[in-house]
Amino acid sequence: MRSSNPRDRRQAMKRKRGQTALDIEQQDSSSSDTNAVSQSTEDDSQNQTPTKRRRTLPSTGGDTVASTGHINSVKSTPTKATRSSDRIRVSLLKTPTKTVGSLSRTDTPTRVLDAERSARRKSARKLIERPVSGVSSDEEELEEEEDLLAQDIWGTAEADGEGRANAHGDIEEAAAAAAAAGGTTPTPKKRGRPPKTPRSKRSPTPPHDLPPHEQYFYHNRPGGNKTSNNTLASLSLLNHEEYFSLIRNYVDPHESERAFLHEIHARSFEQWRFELSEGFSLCLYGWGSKRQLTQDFAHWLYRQSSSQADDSDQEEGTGCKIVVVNGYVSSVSIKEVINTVLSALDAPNLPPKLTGQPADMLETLLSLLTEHASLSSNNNHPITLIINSIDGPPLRRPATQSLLSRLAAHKAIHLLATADHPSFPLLWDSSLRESFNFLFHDCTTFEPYEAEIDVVDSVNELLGRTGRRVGGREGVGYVLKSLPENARSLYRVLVGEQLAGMEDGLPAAAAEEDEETGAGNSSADGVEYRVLYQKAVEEFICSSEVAFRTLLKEYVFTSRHLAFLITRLANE
Amino acid sequence: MTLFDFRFHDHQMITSKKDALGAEFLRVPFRKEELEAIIEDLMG
Repeated sequence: MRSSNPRDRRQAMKRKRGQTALDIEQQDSSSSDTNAVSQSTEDDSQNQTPTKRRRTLPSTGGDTVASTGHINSVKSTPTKATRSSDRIRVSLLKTPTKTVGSLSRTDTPTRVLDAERSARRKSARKLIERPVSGVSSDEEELEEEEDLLAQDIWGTAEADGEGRANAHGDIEEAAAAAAAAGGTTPTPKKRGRPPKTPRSKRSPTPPHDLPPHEQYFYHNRPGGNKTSNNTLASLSLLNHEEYFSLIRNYVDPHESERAFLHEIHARSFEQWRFELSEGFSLCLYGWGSKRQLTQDFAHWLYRQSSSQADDSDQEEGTGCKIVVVNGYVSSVSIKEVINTVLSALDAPNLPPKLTGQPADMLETLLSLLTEHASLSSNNNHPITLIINSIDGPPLRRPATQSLLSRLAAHKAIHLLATADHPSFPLLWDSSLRESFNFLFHDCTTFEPYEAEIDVVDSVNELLGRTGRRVGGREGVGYVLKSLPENARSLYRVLVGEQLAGMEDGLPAAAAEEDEETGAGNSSADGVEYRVLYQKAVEEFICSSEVAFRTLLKEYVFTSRHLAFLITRLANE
Repeated sequence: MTLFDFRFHDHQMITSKKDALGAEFLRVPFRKEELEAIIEDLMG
């Protein structure tokens, strides 16, 4: 119940019995004409044509009566809802029926919302004003009536939506929600706070019977805020001990399945060998690290060829030569690949290393390969080149790929490559594809990318290189402890200046930026050399620029020198 | 025995960057919270 006022209940009961206009007129001893008229229009409004309703809407009555009229004429529905809770309970159980003209088609959700809002505002104003301004006894009954109405508007704002939904079967759930939201703060009543009504449950039925233009807006309404409040900042960071203990105790539940999958892939080794021998290159793709797979293939291949070699006569190189390139290592380069392949060729009179431009190196290598292939009587010893992660970051340059394709095109080279990036085919255009002569095999292994991804490096990159494995500030502390007093003071001054600079309105993100990436912000983030020098001189830390620079260098060299000890200490 | 080999990484206690007009900026590459902690350590 929205109010336990017995008079209210009586009124409500009366209304329920349909004695609305008459009752109100009787109660209002000093009802003016306009009031009566508006009261009658209130009842007619149910059957009103839309135009009539609209005319009464924009009334901007300054006096209480007009505003009452306004409220009453607009809010046909509150009166319906202000009939007692019994009515609402009954209507809840009733099958919803649409009352004709109860909501006109031009009564758009927004209009109703606005009307409700203005009604609430006006009633709120009245509720506040009257106790403040004082009440004249003549109009007391009228004002009490208004007061109750106002309270009802506030109190039944939530139930209003519910009643409407169930009574008419057409609910603007937005309206109900807005009503519920708008009516949450009840203004202080004359007789104490109104009991807080429960929020109306949103009806899951979308509003039908909307005019088509409103339907469009309803269908294209923006969704709610999809940003979750669960941020990373609310997490507590994992430290080293926790991580190690967790990792030690971790048992992978899919170990056996992955092993089974690996075994299935291993059954294709024979096929791969055949395809390689026919002059194709192989490209293994699919989610998961294929490093173990290629390693096993290399072992298998070697065993196969050595067992074959046992059958035939012994030759200089038993077994085939296999060169494995790890494309995920950041230091790999095409020159290195070429030199390694060269070293696998054990022909006499070979230079130990090729130099110069990679293209020239490749030319030399290819000619040497051709020589070697023609020289040896038995052509069955091509070099198997296994490139793990041919799409690794160091190998992604088009020049590198074209050189690799020419290498793969040579008949003395068998190429087996693996690809990890999902867009790996973009590396090669049709001419490269022609040279490579790829056959693609799906080798999804679900193995974790342990070798390919350096976890610590990538996390450091994410976090902006905080102290890079010094253990953060602990390492710094150790280094500083080993330095003389003035070095410590200088560092203190530097950090203090930098902090002061950061607090002067710079975003905290600036401090977290990687030195290399923070092109724009890093200038403001640090301390200017001159400024620091001045400060150092002021605080008698050093007296000359040379001494200053020496102190600065201490930080770099001492930290490097103490690196090993510090990390050992930090990890204990 | 550590899982990662820390030995061969530089410890960034201070970095120097030249910016815009060529002025040299010295920077301690830590987060604000860590900087405050360092100062605390150095004070007492």
